[in-house]
Amino acid sequence: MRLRDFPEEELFLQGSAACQGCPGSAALRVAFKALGRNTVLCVIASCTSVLQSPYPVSALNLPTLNMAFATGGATGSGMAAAAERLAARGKFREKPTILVWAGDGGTYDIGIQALSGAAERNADFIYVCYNNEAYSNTGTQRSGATPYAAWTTNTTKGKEEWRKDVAQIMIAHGIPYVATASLAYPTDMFRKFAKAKEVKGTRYIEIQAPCPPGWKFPSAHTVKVARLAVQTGMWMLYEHENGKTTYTAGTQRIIQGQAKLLPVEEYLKAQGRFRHLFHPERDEERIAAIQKRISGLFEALQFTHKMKEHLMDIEISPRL
Amino acid sequence: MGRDFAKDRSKERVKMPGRKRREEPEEIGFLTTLSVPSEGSVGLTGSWRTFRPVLDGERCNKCLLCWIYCPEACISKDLRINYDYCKGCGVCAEECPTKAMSMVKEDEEEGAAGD
Ligand SMILES: Cc1ncc(C[n+]2csc(CCOP(=O)(O)OP(=O)(O)O)c2C)c(N)n1
Ligand code: SF4
Ligand code: SF4
Ligand code: SF4
Ligand SMILES: [Mg+2]
Repeated sequence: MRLRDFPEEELFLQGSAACQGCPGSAALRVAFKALGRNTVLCVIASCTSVLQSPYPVSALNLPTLNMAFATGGATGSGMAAAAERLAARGKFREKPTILVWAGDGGTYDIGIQALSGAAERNADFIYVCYNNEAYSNTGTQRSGATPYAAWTTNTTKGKEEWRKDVAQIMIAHGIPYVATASLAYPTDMFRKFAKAKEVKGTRYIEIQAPCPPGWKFPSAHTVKVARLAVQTGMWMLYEHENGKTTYTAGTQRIIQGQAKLLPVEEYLKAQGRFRHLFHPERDEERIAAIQKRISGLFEALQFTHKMKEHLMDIEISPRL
Repeated sequence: MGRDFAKDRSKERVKMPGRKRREEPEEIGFLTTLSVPSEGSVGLTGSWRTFRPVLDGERCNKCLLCWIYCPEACISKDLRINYDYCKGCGVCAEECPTKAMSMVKEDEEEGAAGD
């Protein structure tokens, strides 16, 4: 799908309460274009609850249910069951897509129990985590998605732990579709949403969402930072279906050798939340630790890719 | 499409049983949890701007990147910018591959006329 073929209709209405350069509204726009009008939305407590604007108006031109922080998986399951029943009674011309939209706090931390339950039951809805790597709505506290060494209001010297990887946890649930996406690659994101729409069962899509006030970069750089994340390997683009992971867009190009993996410094330096790694003096140890992890992973993936090219008839899992 | 939910219910008056133990219901104003989809849901967000994006039609190759990247949906697919709501974030200018979009200080652009 080329940009010019994307639907013109905007289901995200301008003049919302989102910050300048907000990745959340940017992601909603692409998702809504791919899923279309016949979608019912559940928003979990997060910036997306706020950027809709205060009652009695809303920037989201879809039927929307605003729900409590921990309830994404449970609400999605209930909505899917309701849609199933109504469809059986012939209430729809076309059954709507159920879309749950939650932040990383609502997914990685407080919502994971309900989400895991829903995935295990393979409830029929799309769950999106837009991952701005912190609790942005309440003023940038750390979450399980905050990367190692990043500043937040409660990791003032940089987070000491490595982030967990919920997309991989969702793959381990054996659900039919898992994908990651980036704001800098809208055609890739659109394709993944359009594909997810056609799949039955629990589908999980995680979008990295660089947040200007939380990550401390100028609002104009939202897409630039998202692109650097992919180019430096800090964020990987892939989709997983039928037991197989396929790397896509920028990540695929690096693995297949068409693009170079950029040094992670370029990503870190673009954001104030990593400033303490460079000022007052360079923190070689932590920068090297981050680079080592990424380089190791990409070397393995590039090796696997080469092996596959040479030994086409031998089945090798592309996942490690 | 039956998009009934989009109907403005905020003006509907809801009658509740009278609390003062009278026969007549008491009017207590609107009672609905539904919000109505609307542009400008927090008003004219164009007032947030210090820099405004200006498009140079000569340089533009109509790649549509600014259209899809604008976080606020302020650029139409035929590349008209809605200054009522454009927040001046600068994403469109930053991402424009031909530098057709540039950010101009608000008062400077109208500077000459601003006396
Ligand atoms: C049980 C509960 N605890 C705390 C809150 C307050 N709260 C609302 S949104 C939010 C942060 C959400 O973070 P995240 O899910 O990452 O979304 P973001 O704000 O970053 O978009 C918190 C702590 C709440 N609504 N419910
Ligand atoms: S804090 Fe970040 S995610 Fe939240 S509305 Fe602002 S830019 Fe968007
Ligand atoms: S400055 Fe920001 S809000 Fe305004 S048109 Fe450009 S991208 Fe959209
Ligand atoms: S990004 Fe630049 S070149 Fe592309 S359509 Fe917008 S103004 Fe034109
Ligand atoms: Mg968050």
